[in-house]
Amino acid sequence: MRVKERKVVKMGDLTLTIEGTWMTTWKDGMERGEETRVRAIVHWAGEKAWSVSYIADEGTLSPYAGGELARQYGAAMADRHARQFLRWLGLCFKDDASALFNSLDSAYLFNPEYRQRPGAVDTCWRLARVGVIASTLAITFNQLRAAVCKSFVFEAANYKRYAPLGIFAIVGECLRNFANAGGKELDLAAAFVELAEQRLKEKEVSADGVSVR
Amino acid sequence: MEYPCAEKCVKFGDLTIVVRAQWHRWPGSEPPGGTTEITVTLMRDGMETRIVKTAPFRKTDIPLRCLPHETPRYAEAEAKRAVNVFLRWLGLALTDDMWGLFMELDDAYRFRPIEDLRELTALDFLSGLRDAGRIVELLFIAFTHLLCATHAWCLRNNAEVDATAIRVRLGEWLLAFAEENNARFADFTPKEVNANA
Repeated sequence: MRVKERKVVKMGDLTLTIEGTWMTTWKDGMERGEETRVRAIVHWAGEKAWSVSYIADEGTLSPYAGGELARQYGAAMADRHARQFLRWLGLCFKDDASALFNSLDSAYLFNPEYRQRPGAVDTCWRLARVGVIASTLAITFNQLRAAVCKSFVFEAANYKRYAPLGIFAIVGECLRNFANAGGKELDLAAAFVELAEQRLKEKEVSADGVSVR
Repeated sequence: MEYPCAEKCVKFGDLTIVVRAQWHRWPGSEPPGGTTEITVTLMRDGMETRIVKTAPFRKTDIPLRCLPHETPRYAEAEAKRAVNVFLRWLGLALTDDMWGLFMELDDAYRFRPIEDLRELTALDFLSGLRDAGRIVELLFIAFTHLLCATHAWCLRNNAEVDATAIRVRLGEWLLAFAEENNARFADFTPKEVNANA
């Protein structure tokens, strides 16, 4: 069985699709395990799409996976990992390396600090896995950042208006909000303008000495 | 131009691991630089197939920071260092010193953000973690095969010895072997089975 969940982020010429796929794996003619893969598909307008991916989770078959709830369970797993990836992408834009480190560590437990007798096989395997995730994140982050830099946001007048707010931090927040809301498609340009204008308004109000709330 | 490579070979039971490193110059790059690559080859006695895995060890221009005719010598020294460091990390993994290994990896790839000391950008953090992950994958493969080899050796010899003790001792031997600059081959298969071990 295979279930896919897609999240689409559009920014200028770039369409970035984050696809979570949950599937059962077979061995000796039996459904024995399950695997969740996250794929980031990068598609620039007029160019061929390409993708990078990593295995987010794998293991023995969950009791849910064999029953009638399999499709729902698979969709939830695929959705969960796709959203997690978007949250990490948001942290990249916020340039919050510490939060990213902690979030990756709490998901994959690769840091042996504070752990009792961490095994070598376990730690090496986790570090290797998280390395692939870091690579996928870095590639996707660079592509989306390039799209933001090529967009209307960096036109002189807009840049002057939005730069004091921290353009990439706002993009990061948009991605996080999108991940938390669980939507299917995000028009990043529109979400950016909406959030940035809201922030500007709040700033103006607080500059007038009137409390925001 | 191909620069000299360095390699060390480790044998335990029927498993032979060859760790090879070579520094490659980036063609036409400005500023000039290069990458040291590590290749691990795993072979089993009596089997023709082998596992070969390669990963970049580090990007460095050290072999170019000298007179041009000295570059091959510097490149060889860089390759030797890479082989020794890899074997040391393998030794740390075998001795279960995970914190030591993690700190040495962090020292090499700088992926751990430390407040007020090492403020990393998200991209620096991700690229450091990616590089560490690539080398750890090689470590993981070599380590798990060595682990299997120790267990296979214990079973084959009906040895009343603790496989964990053998693994830890192998790790200590590897740590010592990594310090030896001139040795190129070491057979760590225990020669005598000590029932009290």
